Amino acid sequence: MNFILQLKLRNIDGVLERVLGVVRYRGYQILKLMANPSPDGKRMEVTLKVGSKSKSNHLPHHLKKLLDVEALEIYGEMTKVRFG
Amino acid sequence: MNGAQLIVKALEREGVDVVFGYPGGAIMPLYDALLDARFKHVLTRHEQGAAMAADGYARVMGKPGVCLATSGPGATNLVTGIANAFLDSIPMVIITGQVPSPMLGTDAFQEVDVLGITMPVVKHSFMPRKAAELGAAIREAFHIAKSGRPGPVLVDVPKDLMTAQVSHRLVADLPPQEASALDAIEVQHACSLLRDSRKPLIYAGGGIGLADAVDAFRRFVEKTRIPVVSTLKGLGSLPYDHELNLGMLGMHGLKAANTAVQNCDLLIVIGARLDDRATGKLAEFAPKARVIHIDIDPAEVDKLRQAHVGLVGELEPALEALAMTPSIPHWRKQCLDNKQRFTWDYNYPGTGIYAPRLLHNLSQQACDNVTIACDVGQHQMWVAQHYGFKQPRQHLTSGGLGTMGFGLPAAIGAQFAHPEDTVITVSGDGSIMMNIQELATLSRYQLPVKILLFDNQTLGLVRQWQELFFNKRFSSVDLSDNPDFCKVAESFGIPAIRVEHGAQEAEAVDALLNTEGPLFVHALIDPQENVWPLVPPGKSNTHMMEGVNS
Repeated sequence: MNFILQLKLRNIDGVLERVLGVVRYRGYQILKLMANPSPDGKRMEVTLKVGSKSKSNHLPHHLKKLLDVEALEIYGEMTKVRFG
Repeated sequence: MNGAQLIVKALEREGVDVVFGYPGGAIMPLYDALLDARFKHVLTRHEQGAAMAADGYARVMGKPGVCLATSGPGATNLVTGIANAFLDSIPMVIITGQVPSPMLGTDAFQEVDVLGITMPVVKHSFMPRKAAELGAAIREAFHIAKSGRPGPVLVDVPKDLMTAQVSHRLVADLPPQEASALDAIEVQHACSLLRDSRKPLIYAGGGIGLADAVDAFRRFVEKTRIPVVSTLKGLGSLPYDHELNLGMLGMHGLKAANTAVQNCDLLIVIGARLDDRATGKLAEFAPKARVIHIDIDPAEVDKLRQAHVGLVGELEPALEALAMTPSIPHWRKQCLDNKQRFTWDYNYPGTGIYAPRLLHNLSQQACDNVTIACDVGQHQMWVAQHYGFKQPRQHLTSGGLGTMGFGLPAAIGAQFAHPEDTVITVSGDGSIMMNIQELATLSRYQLPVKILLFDNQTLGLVRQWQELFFNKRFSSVDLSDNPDFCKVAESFGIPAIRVEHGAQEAEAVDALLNTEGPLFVHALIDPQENVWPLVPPGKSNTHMMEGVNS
């Protein structure tokens, strides 16, 4: 199952590394990644396309536990769910 | 003041009364400042010991434990202890010294990327970049460690920040984190499932104790009169001798508990994560049950078993919302009859020490202020099965990570937390060697910790699996060249006794409960003794082996 995540992050040391670590550990493959820091450098918007053989989609819950994830939206084939 | 003194002030402001650590180059300014601290610093003999002592302190106190280490090897030696706290949701604040800012990323002496190394096993971590940020970093670390689902938080401090001059500014209190409110529709749905259930069962997890929700949980049990099974970390949420307590479920669970799980039609999971050691083969776990899952962490609900209702939030209001009295006399009787039917048999055919019986007798004679800190292995399971806990904070056990070597340093932390209580480490001859250097810490601080070592001269649980599942091909489990443990203890200044006959079990129990000061009890047990029952790996909890030939 492939889906797209849009994340708004606090742009602090290692934030992208944390996000990517969770994606890997929870068994998802990164298919596409785009990261844009805000002009003032305090935020970062990240778009991630991920895939997994698993039918469950628990990744958003685990990402939302990262303290620097301020908002997260997930786009599946037919659905859109907003976290935060 | 300098940054190191600011860290000390910030720790004082958090109400810290003891920190555990080990000095080294990059953290020397902080160790200098510690000389003037209002709290105690405990020097362990290895950084892993410091992390696990902080963990043990936190488990007993219900507030963050603190540990310190220098950069490089000091920091990497903490990692197992940090992971241990993370897997068991223990609040902890870890402060590591780091090489000075200008040298970061240059492979400087004793430089490792501890922030990167620990990312998967911390709840959060920081590296402040300015000395003025240190106060806020410490405040935030404590706030994060103890709020919501607790966990370890690491603050990595470059050495130059500790020596830089800063003004001491008070950092504002952080607002308490609001738990998400319960979903009213889900609560209604849960009530409806409970009303319709004829065979409900409560599955009590470690979250009950962590959330300080033991009283609310007990009120819920008394109101609903639903039988209860516990996970390893849920033990003590209901007193062991409570009528409705069926005991621990899972791989080494009690038959009455596993049978109830397999037959229930509604499972109310409270503060638990449905760990594989508890569920056995997931596809066949509680096959007839609908599931209500109550947890503060939304990531746990539906993670392994789809819940019919997930209640995400604080346990206390959720339990209050579900409190009702279903009419389940037949089911309750069935569960309690099974509990009577499958009681333990302490008649042991041999003449040697029988660990389950010794632990049972210890439990029967111990006061309520006894804390047991376990290592990992057969003895850990025997403690879970045969020691009767009345509170979850009495039982310090490495549940998630299963860390050999946890018991002794955790006991040290627990004894500093509650100096008047009796703290007993139950260990094995494999585990004790993993952190045996902490006997020096016991001795230095004259802590009255008792050590009960079950010595079977083998890595017992691994040997048991090799016997049962690897055609008795015993690989690297022989520990018959162990040192003389009594002499080892005595060389650290700790009195020791050796017991090897069943008739000496009473002497051992008496010594553990009535000796002043530290004591090492070396109990020789049969290397062939196994932990029963046992659900083989990958099997359902209905497949309980009760002996080698079962």
